[in-house]
Amino acid sequence: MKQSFNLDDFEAFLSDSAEQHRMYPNDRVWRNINAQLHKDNKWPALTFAAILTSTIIISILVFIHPDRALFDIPSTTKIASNILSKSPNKTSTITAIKSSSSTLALLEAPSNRNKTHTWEANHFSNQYEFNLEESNKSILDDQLFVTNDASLSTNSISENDSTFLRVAASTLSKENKQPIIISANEPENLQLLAQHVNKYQPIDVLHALPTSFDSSTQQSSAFPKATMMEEIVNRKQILGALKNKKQRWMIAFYATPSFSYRYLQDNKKESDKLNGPVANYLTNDVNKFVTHKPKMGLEAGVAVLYKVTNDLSIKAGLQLNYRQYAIDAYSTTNERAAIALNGRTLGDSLVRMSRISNNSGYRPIQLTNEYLQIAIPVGFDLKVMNLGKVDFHLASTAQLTYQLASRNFLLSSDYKNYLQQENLNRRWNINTAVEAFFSYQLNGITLQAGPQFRYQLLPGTKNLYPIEEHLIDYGMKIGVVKTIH
Amino acid sequence: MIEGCIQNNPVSQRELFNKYSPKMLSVCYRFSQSREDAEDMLQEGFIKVFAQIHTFQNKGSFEGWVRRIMVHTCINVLKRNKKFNESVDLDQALFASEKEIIPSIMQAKQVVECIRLLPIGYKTVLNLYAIEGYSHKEIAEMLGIEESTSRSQYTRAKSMLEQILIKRRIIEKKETKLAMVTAI
Repeated sequence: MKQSFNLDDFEAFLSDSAEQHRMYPNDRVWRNINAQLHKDNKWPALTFAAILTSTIIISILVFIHPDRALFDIPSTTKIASNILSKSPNKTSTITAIKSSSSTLALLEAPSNRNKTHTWEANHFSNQYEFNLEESNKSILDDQLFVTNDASLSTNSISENDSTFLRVAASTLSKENKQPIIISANEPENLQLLAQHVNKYQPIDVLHALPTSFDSSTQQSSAFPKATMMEEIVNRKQILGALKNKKQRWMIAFYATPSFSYRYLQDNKKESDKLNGPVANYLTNDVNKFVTHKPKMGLEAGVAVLYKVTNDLSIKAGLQLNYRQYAIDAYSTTNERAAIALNGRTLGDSLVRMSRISNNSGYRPIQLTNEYLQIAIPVGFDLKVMNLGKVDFHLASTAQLTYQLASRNFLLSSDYKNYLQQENLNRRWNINTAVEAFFSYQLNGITLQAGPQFRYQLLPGTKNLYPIEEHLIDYGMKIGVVKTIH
Repeated sequence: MIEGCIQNNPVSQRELFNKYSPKMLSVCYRFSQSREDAEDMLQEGFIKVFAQIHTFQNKGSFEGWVRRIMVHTCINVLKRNKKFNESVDLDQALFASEKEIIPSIMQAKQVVECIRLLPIGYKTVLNLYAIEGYSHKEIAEMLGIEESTSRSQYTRAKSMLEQILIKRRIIEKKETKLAMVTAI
């Protein structure tokens, strides 16, 4: 039996029916909500832990066991046997006094002190660099030079031919071969050497004794300073190691003229609020409603680099960024412009009068948004290719940025007007940069040039403002790097 | 429970979700075209609720506050997906509604299902005016249309819904009155 009754109020009927209706969501909905609400608490901890762990590992490798971990060479005992096997005669007998894991070869010329010395080339697989310094010439004058380059093995040089030493050193370093000092010093020169090497970091020593040396007993009556050499070896202090350690630090000065561009994204979290202005075309991409053009800016700064290995350096510095871009707009009569703010109670929006229109007006104008920032870039520099005199590098930095000053125009929620509202600008930000450049060594400095791309991770305005602006810069970086001695 | 949600306590948040999600999913379902769409709207709406819960000032009903956020979220999603841009063919819509099979279980569910059969623009205005209680002026601002458009769309929606409900024998028309059909 059907029961019917009056239904004058259709709306009440619909409302009652709707109120009685229930639906139960899939559990997936709650899982997604939960993941969204609590995901932000996790990633900073993971990121921070990763950075901290990496920093600790690099610090341990570099500062606690620098030579042992990064600059490993084979036992000198083995090297000594190689030397002995190639030694042409007794006049250039070489004997290892002590072996350790980080040894350079320090050889003595025959004690007859001929002006011309000959020696055999010996192959070592040392991995650290070596450069000669003018200030140590007095020590090195009497020192001969042994290389692992077979082409130099039969050369003979004069005793004081330091030019050869420098040429050989630079030649070998370019060919990734490591030069080794040999000393032609008399005992008193060895003592002089010992005085100087006391300051230096330890590396191993192979000690070649003069002809009076009795290789069978490994003692020398004609060489009273053998104990001095023992002492040197025991302290593991040799000139080349210091040079190697000192030249890990570098300072770089750079400038990057660049063009700044922006990408807009409208979140419109609160644009549907009752008191906020709403327009039908807000469903479209905001980038289609604005006309902006890049303008040239500049990034300039100074950085300190530390050579972790021959190819990899880590760097940190300080720089100033000046960025700007242009916006096409129009002068117009005073119009009401509003920005519907995110994160506020229903109906909260910022309303101002504006004489700048995005769409039309009585006169076209160009606005310029400008930003002056100070940044701390931290990153790495990796040499990926050696092309003769020129090296090719890839580098990347993350830059913590603080905005010192700005002048920018913000688009209203309905995309019709521009207005200035400095308190909506974000002060702190993070930028990431990637670079590819060529480097060329010239007169003790390294010149660098190459393209750089930089992206601003966080929007330039606070979360209150619904339209996110991400700045993008692309430019040419030019830099000068000098080794710190 | 609200305090716990302000403190970002997951247990309180789950409790709040369990309490209000059945009714809110029904709200979203009336605006959407499928259950999956409704659940997406529900998810987005509750994320906003939890993000803004610290702004609730204990003036008025909390359920009403949540419901308003949910309604605005549904409108936002429909705008984002450009659903309002789709053209409406009334005859086609009526024909499609006749083809839809609605199980005759609860009458409330039947009515809601019939509302869902309306074209998006019509059912949105109908939901906002007849069920959610917004004025035509408020609806016009939310949807970016004229107030007169809102009134005319509501009139057409109401007429169309009546036809659907009559054809489904959920209500019957006796002379100038509508009456609900209830089996005893």
